Amino acid sequence: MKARAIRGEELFGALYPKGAVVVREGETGNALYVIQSGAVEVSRETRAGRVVIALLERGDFFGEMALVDDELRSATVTAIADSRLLPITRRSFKERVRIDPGVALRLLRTLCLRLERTRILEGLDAAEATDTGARPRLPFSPPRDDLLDFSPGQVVFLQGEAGDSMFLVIEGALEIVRNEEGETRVLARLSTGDIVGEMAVLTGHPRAATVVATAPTRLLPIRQDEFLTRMRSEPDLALHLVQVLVLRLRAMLGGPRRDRGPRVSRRRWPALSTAARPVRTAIVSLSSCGGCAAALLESRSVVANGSGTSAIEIVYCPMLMDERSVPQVDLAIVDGAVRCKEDVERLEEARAKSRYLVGLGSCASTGGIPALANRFALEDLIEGSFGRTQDLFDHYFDGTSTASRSSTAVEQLQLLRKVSAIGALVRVDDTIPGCPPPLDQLERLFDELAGKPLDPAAAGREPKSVCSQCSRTPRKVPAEELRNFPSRETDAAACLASCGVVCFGFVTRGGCGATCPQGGLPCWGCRGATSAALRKISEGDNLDGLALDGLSKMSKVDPAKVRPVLRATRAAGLSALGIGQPAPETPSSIR
Amino acid sequence: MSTRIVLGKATRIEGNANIYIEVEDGRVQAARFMVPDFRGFEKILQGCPVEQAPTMISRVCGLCSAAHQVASIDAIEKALGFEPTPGLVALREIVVLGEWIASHALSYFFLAMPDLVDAPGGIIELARTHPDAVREAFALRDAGQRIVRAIGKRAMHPVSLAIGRFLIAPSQDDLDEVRRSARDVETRSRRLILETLETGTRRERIAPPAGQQVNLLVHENGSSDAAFTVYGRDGSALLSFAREEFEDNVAELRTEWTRSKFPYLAQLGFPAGIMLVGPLARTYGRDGILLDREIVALGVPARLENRGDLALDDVDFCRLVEIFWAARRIEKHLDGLNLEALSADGNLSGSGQGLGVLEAPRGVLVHSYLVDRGRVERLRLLVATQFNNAFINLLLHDLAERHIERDRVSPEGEQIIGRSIRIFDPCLSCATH
Repeated sequence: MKARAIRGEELFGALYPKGAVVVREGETGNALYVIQSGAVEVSRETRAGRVVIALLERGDFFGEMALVDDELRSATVTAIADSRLLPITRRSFKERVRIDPGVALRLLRTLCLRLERTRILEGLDAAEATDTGARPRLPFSPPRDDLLDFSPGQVVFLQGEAGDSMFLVIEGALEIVRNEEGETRVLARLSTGDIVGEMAVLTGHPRAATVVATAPTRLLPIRQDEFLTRMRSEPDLALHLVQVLVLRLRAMLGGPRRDRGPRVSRRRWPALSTAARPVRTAIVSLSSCGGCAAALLESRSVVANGSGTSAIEIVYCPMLMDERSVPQVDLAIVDGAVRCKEDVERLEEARAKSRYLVGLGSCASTGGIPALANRFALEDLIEGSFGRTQDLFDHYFDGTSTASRSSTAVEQLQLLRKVSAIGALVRVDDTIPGCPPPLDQLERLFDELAGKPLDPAAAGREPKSVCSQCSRTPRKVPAEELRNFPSRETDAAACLASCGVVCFGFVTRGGCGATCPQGGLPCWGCRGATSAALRKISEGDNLDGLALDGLSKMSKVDPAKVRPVLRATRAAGLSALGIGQPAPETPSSIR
Repeated sequence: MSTRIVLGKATRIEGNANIYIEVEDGRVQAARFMVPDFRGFEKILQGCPVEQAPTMISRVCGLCSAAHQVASIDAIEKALGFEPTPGLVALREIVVLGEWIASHALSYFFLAMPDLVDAPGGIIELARTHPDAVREAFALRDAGQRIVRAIGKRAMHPVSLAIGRFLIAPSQDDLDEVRRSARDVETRSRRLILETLETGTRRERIAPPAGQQVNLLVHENGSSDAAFTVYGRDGSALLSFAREEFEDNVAELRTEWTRSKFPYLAQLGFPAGIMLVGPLARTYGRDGILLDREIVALGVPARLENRGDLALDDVDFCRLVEIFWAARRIEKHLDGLNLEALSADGNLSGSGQGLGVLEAPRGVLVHSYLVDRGRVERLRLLVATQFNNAFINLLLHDLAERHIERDRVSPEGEQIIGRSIRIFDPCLSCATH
């Protein structure tokens, strides 16, 4: 192979200033980009205009199809902060792997991680995601003596084993099967060009399923300990592995979306507890005010278990007990928004270890107040509220000015570019929004899980809106103007909206007891939109329009006068409903 | 060779923190109390109309939300020329003191008590082994919350507090509820104090960080010439300054490994000028609580006289004493309360600068606002746990050094580290905001 000088950009990446377009939708591209620093926004042109589908940050990559084939870019990528991006083409990848085989390992690991995240988000089973239907052709025909032959019915590896090898299918056919409650289920079929068992090598997890040959099969094993030397000496093989994973990712993203269930109507829970065993519950807090976790104390079921009277057993809750890692549980209750890298880790751990996962409070359900920071660029947010860091203190504690930084620990402090609700990262079985969240709903959930008979009158009948629980009565006289906050003259017993105060009670999901408006404070929608509003939105309405209509009807203020007030409300971030924002559950399609 | 020891999540505290210790050749290279959470309230509130700022800022902390609301209202009123009536001021202080009771009950029973009786399973284990104490815990916490709810219309993130007024003013019934609850707290906490004095506790002691000066910062709660005072470890006043002089006297340090900043007294520099706030500072430094006639009669000051080192159990005991003190102070406020005049005038669309300050459950809380034509232009928060942050880090370093065994922390070391962090009742949501 002809040697080619590697250009500086290929070694160190290139700088893209904030705002620069890196790749454009529809153009041909031949490179994948690794984000070394900064962040980018991935957007697509739709009939409704440009829609941002993902935000990617340091350590992430995009344009991965370019490693399989020259592709037409399916989206536009723009730098949203000064960013250093490393372009990798099929050719430079192979050249680079010769010098630094770790590149292949890092890229494969990142791909595995993203496959895993996408799989969790889409609610797919681990092995279902393996069967893509598309496989790159084998890059070589290996005349080797280390190939392994399997006859039909022979097991390659067993579910639950620790694995130190992955396998490339040279020829033949295999099935991935899983044993569940005595039943064997075929999850996927593999043939020439596929790889199997890569998770064990790349992430160190035990084998997630059993693999059996269904025809005379020949496999090329790649052992963990020889992985790097092998990549260095066989860059074609390294590229092939990357291509297989890229195609799987593509198939998963392009595949039919799993129905994640209706968001409003509560799902039915199978009873989990029996007389012999209470519902094992973990309480996991992300970035929050600590209020939700404290509110749980008000739920007698939580603490009462110690006295043996509750069907709920708290087995993990850092605020209340010393247990340091999340055990396997029936139920994980997660509060707080996803703000930093550590939140992502905590959330993914909670999901992986729980049968059901419930978001508690507005932050977990919709992003809440922390998500109001999304109006600002991350750099401005940090500068404006934390300031620049200094090294003085570091120096003082370490006793040396060239102290080694505890890099992995600091890494966890890293903030994500945008705050999100937990539903954007993992599958969420139910949410109990509210700031603070109404605890009777949590008690009901506990009762359901514990198999207690529900009061048929109360079951599944949540008050429609905040207004339906509010004791204030509408005023007949038209309001003169619309304002954001009640004035001293505002009637203490009259409906706030009818008095010309922006109160979102009528579009906000009920169940909170209307504590705010009855205490004098207009509703800011912390429980999210009502099911009626969500239905109208699915029919083409938007929250902005619904709020405008409702407020002008109730206050009898001209819509033209209502509009600027609502716009100002939104600009100041004064509605947790996210009026005018894309629906809060819009997930990033890549992460 | 460098060994990294991460003890992991600090437990039985409010919010997330990681204990990180780096050891090299048997010596502690770095010991850190790392706080990852961060939300950015100081930026989020920029441009927010002042009337709504207290409701938003409340979400800094679910455990002392009323304290944040009141400090925020105090600052904005100062900035816009409001002069709240004595009734308004007293009712707000009642809300904050109600929160002291609820929050101290949480800290004393739910977070710290498992250390005293060796129950790593926390309150859930205590419910089985010490049902009477747990019943008392809930009774005190409930009573504190009832007080906040009676006046603020919700125990967590109250809804009725506003600039220059109450959105819904408390009724006589509400005040009766406050008095009933305060009396209940007084009776219960008096009994608990006497019991504790009688049985005594283990009185575990740790030395303050070697060579570190101890500066106790307190704010004179509710007095008209509000001022900050710094006391030394022996209880003598070192320094005092007016509200307006706060920002000249206190500077902050930041590092990249924690989201919680490190305030220090500017004229002493760092680290000599780091401070301690909270029950420890209020009882050891400020004479107010220990001069209370009833508290003297109970024999509390005699027990707390040794100020030479940190007696861990004494700090918990201070919380109990403060529960009692808060209940009595609430009753005193009720006695002279005038419900007639509960509003003040000022210009809600004006501009100005104001500093709000009070003693929150965990110590001095400072809110500083710059208001431009009715909107928040700049906001700076200094929260109790932030003040204690440097001390916690220094103590962690000291304790780690003392309990290193062949490149790891001994189990007793882990236990004492956890216990020592908890005496500060750190709230990390507050500390990072």
